[in-house]
Amino acid sequence: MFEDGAAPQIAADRIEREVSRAFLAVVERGQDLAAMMDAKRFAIVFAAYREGRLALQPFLDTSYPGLPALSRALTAPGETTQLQQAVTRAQPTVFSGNRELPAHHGQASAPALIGEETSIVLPVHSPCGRRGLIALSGPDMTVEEDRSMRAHLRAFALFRSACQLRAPEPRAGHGLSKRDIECLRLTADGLTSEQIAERLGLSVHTANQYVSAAAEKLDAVNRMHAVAKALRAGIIS
Amino acid sequence: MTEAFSTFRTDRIEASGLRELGALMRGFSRRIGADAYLLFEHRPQTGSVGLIACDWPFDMIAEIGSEGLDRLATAGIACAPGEAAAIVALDAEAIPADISAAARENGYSSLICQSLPVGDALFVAVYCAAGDGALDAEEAELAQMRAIYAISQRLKAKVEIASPLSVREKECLSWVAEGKTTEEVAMILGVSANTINAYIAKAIQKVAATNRAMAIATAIRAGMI
Repeated sequence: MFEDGAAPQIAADRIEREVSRAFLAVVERGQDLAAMMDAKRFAIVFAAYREGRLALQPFLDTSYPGLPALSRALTAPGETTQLQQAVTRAQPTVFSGNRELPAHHGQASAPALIGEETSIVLPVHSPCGRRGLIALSGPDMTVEEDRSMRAHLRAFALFRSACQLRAPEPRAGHGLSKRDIECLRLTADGLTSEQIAERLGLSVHTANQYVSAAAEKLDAVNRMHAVAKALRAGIIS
Repeated sequence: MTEAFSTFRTDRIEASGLRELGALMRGFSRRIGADAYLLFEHRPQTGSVGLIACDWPFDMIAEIGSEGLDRLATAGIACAPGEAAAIVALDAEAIPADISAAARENGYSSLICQSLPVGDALFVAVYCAAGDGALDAEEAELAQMRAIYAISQRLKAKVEIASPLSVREKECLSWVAEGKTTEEVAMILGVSANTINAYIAKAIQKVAATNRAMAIATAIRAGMI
């Protein structure tokens, strides 16, 4: 995107500052969510298949930019079976040393994740297909049914915001036109040039030109490369 | 449910679970102030639909059909969990014209459409109401979470729609996403081009894509590559 000279450094600094402001806003909302359940801390982890297994990756935690105890406990290798199960079910899982805690909504329970704390782990999805867990944890947590359900709803919203942090809005300067992006998006949806042309009322030649233009502007060698680059840069989602 | 519905009924939930979910949906529907409810499984990659519970008039559902429900689910009106429930007027532009016509013929004027992600599967709930201002958005938001829990508890064995790719398949797809051709990937991995094509074909099939570009997009979105 930026070739050389001093300008790119300045631009990069600015982007970084904007990014961390956005991150801090999400951290603040995470803390509010934790407070709602009388929890002390929260953590957001992403779930993705790696090497054929569901792996959990730390993302954001109460003490951003650090990743302390809760995130580490959630993503520690060997400790994740129950957490992996938490991703594939929809109900919260409560991790606690206290066996007296009531189970409702089919909530699963498991031994404490950290020390004497109670943690509630909420499986979350984003509309773009990302999955993860939001954990709320503290020594004086309450897991009363109605409140935990409301917290879960807010956790979904928080996760959506977290996903947007990972895929930032298209930044000005990528040079792609609206049509370029549209054709690229349809390519990512599996449409052929013929189908794109029909959908947008263009000739096949023109549709091809838009996709090629997009690939060239993204410095990609072909359309597969262009789709991957555009997705990773958040130009399409 | 009537006989004709069985043609696109979901196979994901046992008959007893279907009845229980029907009863729950009736309860949610009453609390929300809706006159009719519909709950179905949606597989957006293939556009197929599996009906779970519904008290819509038979004519209306027959007219809309599974293809219509797919269009309704992808019309961009479905609220994600934790998103304030949007009450959509049936004459809104986003609602496909044939669906809005069929619903209005039955006296409905507005609806709430919600997406219910459960593990690897996706379900959709639709509540219709006749009167203006009849639907309670706040109740709908709570019903959305309750429905997600209820479905999750009644799902048959976990079904992985986005079935994990093998190491080799992921490797191939990652190289293709880097712009490499089949021949180049074959050279990098030291196997024949035919083998690479077979891996990629398998990967395309596993992520329910129709071609390479779509497979790459799906795999990146799901965090597989």
